[in-house]
Amino acid sequence: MQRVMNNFMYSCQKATELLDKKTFEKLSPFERFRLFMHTRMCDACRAYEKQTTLIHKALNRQVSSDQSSPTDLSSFKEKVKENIKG
Amino acid sequence: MDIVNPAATIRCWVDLYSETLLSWAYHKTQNRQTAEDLVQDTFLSAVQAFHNFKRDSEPKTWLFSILNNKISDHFRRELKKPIVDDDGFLINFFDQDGRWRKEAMPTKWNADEELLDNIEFQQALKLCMQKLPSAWLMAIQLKYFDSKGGVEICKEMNISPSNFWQLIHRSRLQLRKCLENNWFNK
Repeated sequence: MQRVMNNFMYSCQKATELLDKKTFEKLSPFERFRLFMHTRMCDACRAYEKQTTLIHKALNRQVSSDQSSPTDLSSFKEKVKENIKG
Repeated sequence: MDIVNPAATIRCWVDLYSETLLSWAYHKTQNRQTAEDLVQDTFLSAVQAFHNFKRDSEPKTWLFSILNNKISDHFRRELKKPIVDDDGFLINFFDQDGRWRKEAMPTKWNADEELLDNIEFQQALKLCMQKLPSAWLMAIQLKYFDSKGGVEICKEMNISPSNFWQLIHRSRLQLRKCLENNWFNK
């Protein structure tokens, strides 16, 4: 059984690679098939698929309005102007 | 005749355009310090290149083109480094047969789409992102904060698509682990 699995199915390492590659390139039908065969049998990689999708969506939603240490605009301007001689 | 003093002109532009340039640089790089450095460099370069500025052009457009070049250079420098497979990163997650290591195995998350709107979750994700190696973080920034598609980014940055998504893949492995430890299993 193990040998069959090795020949037809991806390892978890390879499966996670393809799960992420999917967001960039279309997988070949063969890649898609082998990936499907793996994820239907592997709880951990099914969980990974859900989670990496969530992360992908969350990154898309990231708003660049982080004000944790905002630029002090007036002192930034003063600093730059000081460096411009003439 | 109107004699233009480059330095005085640029200083004036610092007052007028810093805010908008900083906002753009921050959006692209997601890092305050990097954004400030790039914008300052932009103004300093503008002084040197002032003779190239055509008087009837729009200053903002010209400054943005300088800034965008600097942003591209910034990414290109980091992303040039090739990805090596046996560099000891993946071994933290998978054993020699490619199976998940017990301690690295994903556990079920109690998560739904609503989490995406949760500000604290977004903050946790941001903190996890800051912990990534800088080249990986840049790949993420390029993919998610740049409007161009993956293929165009690769062409411009002169990295192979395969290198690029390998960086994204590794980042996601790391981010997943970080979020699991710092949010879901806390």
